[in-house]
Amino acid sequence: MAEAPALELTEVTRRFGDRAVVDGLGFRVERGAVFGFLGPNGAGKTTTLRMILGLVAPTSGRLDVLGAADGRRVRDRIGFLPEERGLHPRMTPLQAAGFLGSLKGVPARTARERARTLLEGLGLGASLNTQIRRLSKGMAQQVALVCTLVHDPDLLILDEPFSGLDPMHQQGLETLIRERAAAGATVVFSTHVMSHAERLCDQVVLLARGRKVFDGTVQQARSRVPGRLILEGDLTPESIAALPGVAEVAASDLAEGRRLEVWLSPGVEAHQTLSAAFRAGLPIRRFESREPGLHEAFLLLTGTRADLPEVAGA
Amino acid sequence: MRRLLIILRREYLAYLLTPGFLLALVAFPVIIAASIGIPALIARQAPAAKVAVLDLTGLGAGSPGNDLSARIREGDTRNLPSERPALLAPLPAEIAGARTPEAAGHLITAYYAAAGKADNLPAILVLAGTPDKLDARLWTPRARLIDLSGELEDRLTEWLQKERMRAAGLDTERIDNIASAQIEVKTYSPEASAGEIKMGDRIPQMAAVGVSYLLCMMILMGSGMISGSVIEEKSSRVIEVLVTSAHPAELLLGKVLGILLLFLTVLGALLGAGLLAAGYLPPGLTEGLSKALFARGLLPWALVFLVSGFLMYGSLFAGLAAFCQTPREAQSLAAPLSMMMIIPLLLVISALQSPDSPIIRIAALIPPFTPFLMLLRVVDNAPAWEVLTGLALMGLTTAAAIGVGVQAYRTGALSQGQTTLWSLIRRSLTARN
Repeated sequence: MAEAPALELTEVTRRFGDRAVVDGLGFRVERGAVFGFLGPNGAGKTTTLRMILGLVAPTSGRLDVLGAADGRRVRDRIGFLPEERGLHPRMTPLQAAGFLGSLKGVPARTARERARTLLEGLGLGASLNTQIRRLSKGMAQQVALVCTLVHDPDLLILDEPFSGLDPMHQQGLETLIRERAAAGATVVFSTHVMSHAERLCDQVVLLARGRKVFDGTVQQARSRVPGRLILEGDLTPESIAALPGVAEVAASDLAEGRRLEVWLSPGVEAHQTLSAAFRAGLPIRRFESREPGLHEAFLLLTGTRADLPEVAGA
Repeated sequence: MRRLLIILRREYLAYLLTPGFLLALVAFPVIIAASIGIPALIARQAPAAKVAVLDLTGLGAGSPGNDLSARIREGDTRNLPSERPALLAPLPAEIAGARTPEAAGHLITAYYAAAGKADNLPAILVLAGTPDKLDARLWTPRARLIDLSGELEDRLTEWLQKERMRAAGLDTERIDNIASAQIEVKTYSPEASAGEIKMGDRIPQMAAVGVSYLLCMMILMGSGMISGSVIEEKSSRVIEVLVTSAHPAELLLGKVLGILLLFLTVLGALLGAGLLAAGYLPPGLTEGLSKALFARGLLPWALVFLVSGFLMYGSLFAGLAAFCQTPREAQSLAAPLSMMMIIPLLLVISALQSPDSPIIRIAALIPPFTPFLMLLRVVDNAPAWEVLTGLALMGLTTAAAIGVGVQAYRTGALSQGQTTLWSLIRRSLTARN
């Protein structure tokens, strides 16, 4: 029998007045997965996270959060890091961890000890007893993250956790997320920085204007985006357009010959088209295959890039 | 409950361990002592009033001027509130030539003008007319009423009564006999500890009034602390983490109870200091005070109304603050509620005089007034149903205030950016969750 998911949303809609901020959203996150919740600003990510946490009720639809109808019933098993980190500015990191940990059912002393270990691991050992208002923004963000971890949550919900962090701190956060997932926690994070999702996520859901436009692995998301080839030589656009799997060609003149930018149809691998070109004896002097990234997939699937072809059946 | 206690503890310690609070703890008894001691000190330091008498009656040795001057010399004329006897001043030479009260008035005016702002110029009493129609005018350098005038009036009235008795043919012995006649009416009650009503029997009423004023002070000070704490948590976005860690009712009640516990700590410290000081009071006085304070369960009842009153108002203030984005908004929203507290304080004064008045009895059942008035009713042996009804209505109001506060907390916690106060209130009233 399959294990119950950590999180499952079924046809969840949330309206504010006449406006549907989240519209018929459904997805499932398996236990122990790292799940990326992606979408442009205003896509409905934060509202969805708030429905999961039980801060906002859905207008319709059903949620299953660690077996409960919303996060309020299992709040001690959830760790939440809001987009704007919330810590009492006059508390020290250890005091904050003790306070927030004890609210989640961990004895304050244990929470402080765990926080000490985690903070020292992040290089913040010298700031354990410094008031949070005196820490840099990046340090305070790390303290906030540690405070969400001290009760060892089964489900970790991070709203835009990478925003405002320098590359070194971002790296540290990625490591922490991987460690938590390896320890069996489910990590759900929202972001619009694709590189983190690309490196971390087992599964991503893309949201645009309140609707889900993609649900799958990073690889599956990439495959939705047409591949691209750059070809140089004495080529004509017509000869390239006649090759199998070519969706669109744009040409520009070089000193010798032409440079052609070739968009492939979705699902077509670049090597298939290249093989066909060589078999046809086309005079190619130079070629370059441009693999699409999650960034391109994001732009395409969320409809924020006009120069890419539409993808049917998200 | 566990989370409520954790939040309570945090709020309590957040204030308790600040230097400002420790300073306030020391300053509070000093301020109380100063507010009692400074007026008395000022009165003691003030120079005794001086009075000069100009008698134009022409009645010779038995004139009212001579009689009054003798009484002043004997220290028989006191200037309230310092209770220091007035001093007889020599009549200024510039005024001695006056023959009528009007002429004296002109000369006195000129005398005061020439003296300028010199310190402690004498008041000048001008007496004229006959025993049948005595004209007495008291002149002072400043246009303000002085307590001395009442004392002078009493002494002159006594002289006048004696003159009229003398004119009616009574001899001096009979006159003195009549003048010394005096009777004191003593007040008794079965409720008084010794039958006759003494000051100690009034202590419960006065203590009840004191508790009302104390509650008012606690609410006014506490409202600022509660609002400040809520606004700080909103502005630093801590509230967003907290509402995912605890129920908003736990957050709100924990905050209010934490600050209440802080005040009770201060009161406990003051009570402890009072008990220590009681060791130095005369044994009879200590016994009387403790008997009066513990009579009729005054202290437990005082605690009940302090706690329930603070809880009710504190919940309201916390709820209001949750709607606000800035301390200024919170202050403007709380101001009408704070001003409303003048009404129960005025009622308390009336209740002291007539605790059985129907208006007071009804007002004591209206929740915003109950914590201020019901203790006076308890002291005055109000029926149990009245007290229980008042407490029940307060409980309901507190629950409603917490309900509103919880909704405001949820809506307020999730509001971001430039949200107006009224849109927040509207949203909290229409929000599904």
